Order: sequence, then C-alpha cells, then structure tokens
Amino acid sequence: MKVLLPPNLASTPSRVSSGPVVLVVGLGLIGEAIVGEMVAGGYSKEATIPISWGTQDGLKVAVNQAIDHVGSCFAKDARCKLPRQVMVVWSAGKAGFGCDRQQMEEELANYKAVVDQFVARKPRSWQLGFCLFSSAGGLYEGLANIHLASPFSIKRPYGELKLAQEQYLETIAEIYPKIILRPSGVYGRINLGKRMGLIPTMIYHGLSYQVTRLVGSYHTLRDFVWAGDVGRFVRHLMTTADFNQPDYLEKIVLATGKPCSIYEIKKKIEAVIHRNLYVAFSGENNGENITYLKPTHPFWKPASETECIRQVYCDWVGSGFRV
Amino acid sequence: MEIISVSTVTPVYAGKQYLKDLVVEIAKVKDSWDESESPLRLNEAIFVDDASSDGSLAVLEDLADKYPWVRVIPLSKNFGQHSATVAGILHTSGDWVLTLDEDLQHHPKFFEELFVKASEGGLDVVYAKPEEGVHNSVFRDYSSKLYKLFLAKITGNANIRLFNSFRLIRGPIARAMASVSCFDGYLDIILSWYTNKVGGVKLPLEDIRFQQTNQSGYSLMKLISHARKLLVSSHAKVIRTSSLFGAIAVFLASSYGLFVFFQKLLFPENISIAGWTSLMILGLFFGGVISFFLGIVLEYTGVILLQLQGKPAFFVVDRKNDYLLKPLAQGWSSNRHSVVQREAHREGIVAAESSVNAV
Repeated sequence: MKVLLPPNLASTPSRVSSGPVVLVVGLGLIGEAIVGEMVAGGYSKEATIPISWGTQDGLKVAVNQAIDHVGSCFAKDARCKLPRQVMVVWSAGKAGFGCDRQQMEEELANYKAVVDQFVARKPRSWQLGFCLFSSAGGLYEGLANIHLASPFSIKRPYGELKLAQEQYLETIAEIYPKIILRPSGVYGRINLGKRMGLIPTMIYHGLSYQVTRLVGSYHTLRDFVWAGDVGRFVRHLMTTADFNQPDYLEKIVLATGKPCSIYEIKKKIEAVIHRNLYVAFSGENNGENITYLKPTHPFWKPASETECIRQVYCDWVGSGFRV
Repeated sequence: MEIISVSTVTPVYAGKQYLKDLVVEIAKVKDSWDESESPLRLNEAIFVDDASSDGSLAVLEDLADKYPWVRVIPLSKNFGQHSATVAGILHTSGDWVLTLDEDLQHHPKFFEELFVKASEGGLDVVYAKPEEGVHNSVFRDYSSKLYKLFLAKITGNANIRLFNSFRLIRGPIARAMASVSCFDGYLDIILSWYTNKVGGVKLPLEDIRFQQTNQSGYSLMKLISHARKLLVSSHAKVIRTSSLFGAIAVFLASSYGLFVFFQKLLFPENISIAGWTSLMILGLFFGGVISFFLGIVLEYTGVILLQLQGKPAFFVVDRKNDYLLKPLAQGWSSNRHSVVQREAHREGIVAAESSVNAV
C-alpha cells in the first residue's frame, strides 16, 4: 500500500488544500499508474506499507499502520486546520478474470476486512472516501455498446466478486465520497513478471519471437485502455470529489468507446515493431465481443491504442530492455 | 433470440443539409427492425466528420445528443472519403457494417435488400449497383463505368465493376480490411484481399445533390486522384501486365532479329545500309531484355509493397450465424412486391392530382 501526500502536506504547509491524502491499496498495473500520475501531479510518496494478503489479521495490521502514518502526517500540520481527507483507492486484486469461487470468496473477504478496518479505525475528525476499481469486462461480459445503464451480464465468479464489492461499498454510510470505476481492458508498459495487459504482452512476444496464446479469435472485439489515462483520471477525481456530500457516489465506465479486434492490434503492432506476431487461440470461453459506447465523463479522455502501441515499444527499447 | 448487429458508417464532407434527414431515415429503419421479428438490430450509426467546412460537425453533435446510437468521429484534417470510411469501420462493433454516403443517394430503405443479397449468395460483401446512371450526366456515369471496366480487364479483378460506396460488409472482414488499410490504398481492393464472395444488387440510386446543384462531394481533381488510387492499389496485376509486355518485346525482338539476320544471309541485296542489321538486332534484343528484367524488378517491388501493406497470407472467417438472415430473404419477395405496389399506387395518386390541377 502506498501513502501519497498532497503538496500542501508534503512540503510547505499551506492553508489551501490541494487534495486528500491518497492510500493506494494494490500496486499492480493500475495502482502503479495511479501512483505515477499522482506524483506527476505534485503528490509525494510518503511511505510504502507492505501488505500480508495471507490472513485478514495481516491486512488489518497494514491498515492500522497506514492510519497511524497518515495521522502523524496530519499531526505535523496541525496548525493549518484543513479538513483531514483521506481517499483509499482499491486497485488490488489477486483473483484474476478466470478465478474460481473459492478465490473469489477469499478476495471478497479481504476487501471487506480492509474497508471495515478503515471505517473502524479512522479518527472521527477524518473524512474518508473510497475509490473502488471494479471491472467492466466482469460486469458486462459479452455485451455490445455498453454504457452505465446497461444491464449486467455476469458469467463468472470474477464478475460476481466485482458486483459484490460495489454493493458492499455502497452500503457503508461512513464512507463518502464513493467512486466506482469500471475499466475495460487496461494495459501499461512492458513490465515482465507483472500483469501488463494484452498489448505490451503481444509486443514483448513479438520482439522475443514467442507465441501469444489468447482466448477468442482474431475477430474478438475488446476495448483497450491505457493505464496512464486511468491514472490521470483518478488524479482528477481525487481533487474534485466532494467530501462534504454524504450521497456522493460516482460510477464511471472507463473505456475508449473504440472497439478493437485482436487482428487490428496484431497488425498495428507488426507495423511498429517490424516483425511478425504469432498468435494461437484456445477454445476456452471469454471469446465474446465486449464493446462500449463513447465515454461521457467530460474529463475522461482516453488515448487510442494507435497512439500507445508506439509509446509502449519506444519505452521498452529506450529502457534498454530492462526486466 | 439471436440477433445480427449492424453498424452504419457514413463519411461526412459538405453534406450538412442532408444529415438530419439521413438520421431520421436510419432511425425509421432501426425502429422497424426493433419492432418487427427482424433478426437485424442497428447498434450504431457512425458518422465520420472529414474536416467538413460547412458546419456538418455541429449538426452531427446535435444529432448525437438526440439519438444515443449516433456516434461522431471527427478527423483532424480532410483525409478523403476512403480514409474516413476506414476510420469509421475501425470504430464499429456490428456483425455487419453498412457504408453509405451522407447525401441520401444511398437511402436506408435499401439496407435490407443488401442483406437479402448477402444471404442468398452467401456473400461477405454486397455492393449496390445503380439501375441507371446516378448522376443523370452521360459523361460522369459512363466515364466511371468505362474506367472500372478497363481496370477490371487489366487487373483480372472482375469485382472492380461492382465497386460502390454503398456497401454491406461482414464485420470482421471490414475491420480486418480497415486494420491494414494504408493512406494510399483503395478500400475495395484491400477488401478483395480478404474475400472473393462479393456480389451486387441493383437499386434505384440517384445522386440528388448532383442532379439538383450540379455539384458533388467530388471535384474533378478528386475524381482523378480517386482513379489514380484505384490504379495504383491494383498494382500487382498492372506490374504483371508490364512484365508480360517486356517478355513479348523480347520475343518479338528475337523473332525480328532472326528475320533480319536470315535476310542478311540469304537476301543481302535487300539491306542497303551497312551495319543496320547488327544495330537492329542489338537494339531490339537489349531493349527487350531490359524491359523484361525491369518487369521482374517491378514484380519484386510489388511483392515487397504488398508485404508492407499487410496483405494477408490467409484469413479465417466465421459464417455460422448467416442462417439468421434466411428468414429475411424468404420474407423479402412478398414484402418487396408490396413496396413496388405502394410506389405504383403513390405515383398513380400524384398523376391523378396533376391531371386534376391541370383541369
């Protein structure tokens, strides 16, 4: 878990708030992107608190450490009398899209334990907000032209998990604002050993002459979102969320609105890396098209995959192929 | 119930006054499909604003606010009709994609006829074929027809004669084509890399804008550029033709060289200029050889170009849901009959009203 302090708390104490303290739970593809964008926006990394995912007691210890740490930061700035706002961003998730019911239940229990612990331990003077990363793919599997009002189409435990997490968050009166984000297929930079999304995986496989194994077919339509755009958007939400409005609940589908077939991605990557990509498809399910309507939030301006493929490739080449 | 999702793509350039009517007509088709037993569902109507200068973008944005299934893709500059169509296709999600012009030349009431043809012929691409000249201009209509005929002959691609911007394309093939489409590629030629199940259906199309105003979205220069693009895109066969000319030249030169050589041996009195024979033989032979090898070099260049443009070695397509279109084809003939009757009835009323007015 990363503790991020806003500029007014991190450097020179100021009487003007520049945003809440942000606690990012889960430093995977999305979590790292959020931390990167928050830091680019003036936040500073105050601490990294390791989380032991094995037991709920371990999770509670991590939450207590985070609360103590943030409390000490607020204490240093006691003279400013600014509202003590803390936003917890849940971008964790060990259970992937193909998780089974047992993994789903474990993850839900972990999530509830963390939320409950934050609510139970936070000092009364704090205003606690929560931003949950749900999943559009899990909630609307196999649907086309999805928008926020589309009926759910849940076909696997992962979708049930995400819905249960959303519903649990909505029931807790002590937390506001509540932000629920439903991203489509997120991808980031090439980061070996970690989840990085389809596009960087295909680029890496193309460069290393490996076969990419996918479900579905060349025609399968998906919507790919660049992790940096998600991070930037979260940064915006952190500074605009209303901590004084008890019914503040924002739900947003994070998609580009541009369907993209696997074939299109393959061709675009081949054109950038000048090598052939080898793709093998398995007959498993999850091969259905999932497409979205154009985004409606005025500050959600995602880049298209055309712009980002070259960026991913150049980053990887520019980094000297660091692992 | 299983359904077939449909997306439409309309490139827009200087067609402001037609857009509202076009969307209303598309909405009528969408509503009729939604309310009937039709297996077709119109998911989205995508309009690509090709940097129009007549305020079309504002009209489109208003329409998108009113109709949630209307989507607007604004391009950064004027890229041309094919590029705009490609951009639109890459935003589609439908099982089938319909492309049509903005000016109601391609009326949405004909959508089903294209589907019927696709179903009857098991086709991947169906073009609308105008029953008569769409422009009411002999020059425009016949020059286009003759040029396509010429290209169809020299390239061996008979489908060129069918090419029309009002087309129905199987979704995965449309998106595959758009994925490899390059700035100077001709959309329909690239489509032919993916399928030869192509057909056409005769429709009463009319370019009302051209007939009324004598103006088209295409200027003469644009038409010439369009024709050049079509010629260049079908390069492989053109190059092969030039190689063939080279080979024929070598053969003719060699034959004529032999003729002149034997003439010199057997009837030297017929050749009065000294050195003429050897000059002719050398000139013809090396000219032919150079032409032939130039053709081979061009052939290699063509292969490299196709490789760069992404011409596929193969492409897999799934047509198993085509059976859903069958009821449409079966129900169409009677429906069509009634449409024809309605049209005749309406024309009868108009004629009667005219004669009453005349009296």
